[in-house]
Amino acid sequence: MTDAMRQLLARKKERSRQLAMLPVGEKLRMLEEMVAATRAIGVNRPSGPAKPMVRIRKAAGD
Amino acid sequence: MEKIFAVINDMETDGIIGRYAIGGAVGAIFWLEPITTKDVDVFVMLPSSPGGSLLSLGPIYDYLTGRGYLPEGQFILIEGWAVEFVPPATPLVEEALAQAVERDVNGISTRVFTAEHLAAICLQVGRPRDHDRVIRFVEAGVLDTELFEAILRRHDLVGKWQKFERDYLEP
Repeated sequence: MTDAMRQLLARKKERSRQLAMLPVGEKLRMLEEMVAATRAIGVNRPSGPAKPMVRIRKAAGD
Repeated sequence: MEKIFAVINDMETDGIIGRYAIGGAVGAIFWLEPITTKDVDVFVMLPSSPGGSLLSLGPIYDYLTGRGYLPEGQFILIEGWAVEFVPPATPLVEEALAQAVERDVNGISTRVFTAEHLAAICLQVGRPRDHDRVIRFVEAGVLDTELFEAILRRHDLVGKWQKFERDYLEP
């Protein structure tokens, strides 16, 4: 892993810690906003890929 | 969200449910950064029906539909949120419910699983998203080491934890 990547991960961890320390009411309000935003994105969802990748689980012994 | 907690508190006061606690992703948000979820998991002790030992979610549905909340699959929609009532299915979840802690959300009191129990449950369930959540608990520094390790020992999760540490936490 490069130094730049390590620094990015460290910043993300620190941001997570800061968010974790917010009051619960504030965090639940943020959750409500996230859910509303997700619904809004869902309304404008683009059409799927022309050739969707299909997950194939191999059977034991394959 | 706190309106949901008020409704559940009323259910407990009215004897529709026994002791309850919030678990799942919403429970985790009490200890971690906000993570997105579509539903609210409420773990409940159910009062047994008179003269019988069978536990039923029927009284919960009757009570809530009587207040205008509609069922949707295994959920009930309360104040716009899909809420699932889940009786504890393992000794670990039973213990989590018994030891859940009171928290205040904008003036409404509610009960939530401890961070240590939530992390242990995620470790036990073991789906990729559960593993991700255990990592978040560790990185956020919210787990009390002694409490967490005691839970792991009581519920035979030490081996699983050691493997998890090797796979995901060691540099």
